[in-house]
Amino acid sequence: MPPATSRANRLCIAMTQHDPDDGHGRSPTAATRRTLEIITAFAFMLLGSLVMWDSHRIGAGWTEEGPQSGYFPFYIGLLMNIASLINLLKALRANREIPFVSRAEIRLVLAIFVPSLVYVGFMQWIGLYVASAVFIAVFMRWQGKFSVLKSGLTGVIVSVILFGMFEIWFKVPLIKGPIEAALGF
Amino acid sequence: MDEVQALFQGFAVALSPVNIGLMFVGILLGVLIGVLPGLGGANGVAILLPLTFSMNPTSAIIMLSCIYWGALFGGAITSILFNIPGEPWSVATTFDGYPMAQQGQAAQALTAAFTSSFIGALVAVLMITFTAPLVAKFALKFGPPEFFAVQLLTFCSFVGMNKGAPWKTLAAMFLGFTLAAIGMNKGAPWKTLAAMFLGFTLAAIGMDNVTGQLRLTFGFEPLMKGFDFLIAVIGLFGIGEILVTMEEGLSFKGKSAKIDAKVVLETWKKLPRYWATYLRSSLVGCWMGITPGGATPASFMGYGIAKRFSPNGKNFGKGEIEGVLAPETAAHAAGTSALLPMLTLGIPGSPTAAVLLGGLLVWGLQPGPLLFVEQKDFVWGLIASMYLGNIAGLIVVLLTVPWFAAILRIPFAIIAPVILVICAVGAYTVHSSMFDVWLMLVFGVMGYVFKKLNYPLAPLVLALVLGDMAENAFRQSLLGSSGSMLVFVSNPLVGSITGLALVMLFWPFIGQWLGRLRKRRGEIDDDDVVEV
Repeated sequence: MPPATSRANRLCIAMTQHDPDDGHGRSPTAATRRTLEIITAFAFMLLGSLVMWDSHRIGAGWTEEGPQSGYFPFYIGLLMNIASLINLLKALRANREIPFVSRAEIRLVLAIFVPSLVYVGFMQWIGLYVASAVFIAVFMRWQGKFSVLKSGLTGVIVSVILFGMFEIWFKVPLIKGPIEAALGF
Repeated sequence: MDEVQALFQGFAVALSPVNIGLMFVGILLGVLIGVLPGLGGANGVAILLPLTFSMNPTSAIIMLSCIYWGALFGGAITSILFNIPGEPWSVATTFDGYPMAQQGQAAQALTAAFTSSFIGALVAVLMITFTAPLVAKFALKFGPPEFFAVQLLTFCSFVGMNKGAPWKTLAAMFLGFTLAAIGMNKGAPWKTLAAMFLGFTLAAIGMDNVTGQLRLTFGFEPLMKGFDFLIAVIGLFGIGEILVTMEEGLSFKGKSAKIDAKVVLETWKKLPRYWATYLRSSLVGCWMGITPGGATPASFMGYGIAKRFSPNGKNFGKGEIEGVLAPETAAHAAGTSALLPMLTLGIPGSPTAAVLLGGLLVWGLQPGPLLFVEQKDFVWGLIASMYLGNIAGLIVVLLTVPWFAAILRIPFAIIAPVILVICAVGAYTVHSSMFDVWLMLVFGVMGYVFKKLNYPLAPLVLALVLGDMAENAFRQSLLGSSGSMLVFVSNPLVGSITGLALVMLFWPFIGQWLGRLRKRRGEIDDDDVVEV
């Protein structure tokens, strides 16, 4: 299927061609690895501290009935804090040059992630089947540069297959919206 | 030979027409999952798990475990033809598989990979057949301290096996524990965390669904209470993988594959001379599968050991057939033997085994040593299906490779949104909750960041699954001893397990120290593999 292959390449080209270049064939760094390491370690510590605080609140000690419900989580939180503190210290000493993600890369990541957020947001209102069809069609048209017909058809076919499989075959109801209701489901 | 008799009963269970049909469906789905980026063994099984809730448990596990075998087979296809490892455990297969494909030997490489996978699995299944009943019988004597010690060992070996970053492993593991603990104390911690997660996503949505979540606390099996690890698996492995793949901007420079009977037979003729490699890789794989190293480090170790021992060692990386069969054998042996601790102790050896364990609970089976006593049909049906499933798998992959290779040529602009939709459906079906779908996206971002920062995902998922069990065993042990930690070293059995666990826990530091010592002597250890 040579046309499909070239389309796949076109996807990559279409998605990277507008990126500024630093002259070495690499897109400039959007964030360094060190930054992300530090943020992640802090997030862990924040969570660990929250767990410790809350475990302490509900009781992390001993009673006649044995360990209280906060006992185990409290120490888990403490250990998580210790491990993350060490990760943080290591990250602080890390090389500042190593990129985590370049601008071109993060743009590609957001090209799928932002539409996913919109997709899940709309799912609640218009139902999973319609949202999925629209999501697939729009993404194919926008990023893959497929024709409107092909994009739309692919979206509808995937949704119809899902509908047949879940609603009819396995009888597992998925979230439905007004269009399914109008069709009597 | 009780085992042999039980096994034949198992074959009788597994050989019903429905189960054979499900076996083939599972293998085909599994290969598809293994081939597609963003869908892997663990989250593929997680997505399909809700569909099996109403099935008979034996049929359900036969289908789901066959998906797992299929995914193990499928990973090799993309590695060899496209130099894209479809699964983490097939990374090592690309080292020699892709060069072989470039030299026009794709068919030989694929045949060798599939056959080796099959042999690795077969060795592991034989091992399971004969040792599992013994382990289960032994484990029947376990009390809470022993169980906690074994669970401790499980987690400590993650730290020990992971040569990369022990502290990251620890942090990831504790995160898993924390998430699991949320379910235990249904009240406030859940809200605290739910609020935090909601802060990440959209504050408006989910509150109703949070109360919807509470549905879990009555009616569901103990482990499924609270935070659902299936959502975490789908997000971390599925969405995370899509984001990573997206970033790399897939370039499709694949080789086409045609396998005919002649090539297969010629390759098969060559394979017996590598019996020693098979043996070493199978042993490494079985060991790594039982201790929860998992298939990925096993495949690297299999490759590294073969490289060291092979007379053609210096040709490795240039298209040496031995470099394909060594990692494939080890990966499949590890993937299969990961089910041994799951069946006998209720402790999964890999993320996929963890998902299968979650399945057992949903179908109303209590994993652990009693399974071998109370659910003979189920256990032996599953073990028999491992033999049959792998034979079916070998036949299916050899016949359908061109078809699956064609699927890989579908542009990523179609694949990416379709997989996302499948993941969303999978997340939604777990509890019919929109909140879970949002949570999946949050986990997706986490998976992406964790993958790039080398925070391991497997211990996180395992801790999430085992958290409740480990806490219960821990609390019961302490209750029995009125709070004395000495209960974990109170008899030779529990003492040695705890001791082994501590050795594993401190292994990275011992290793670093030994490494420094060795360096001083001028020796260089060259097969250090950083496992992600």
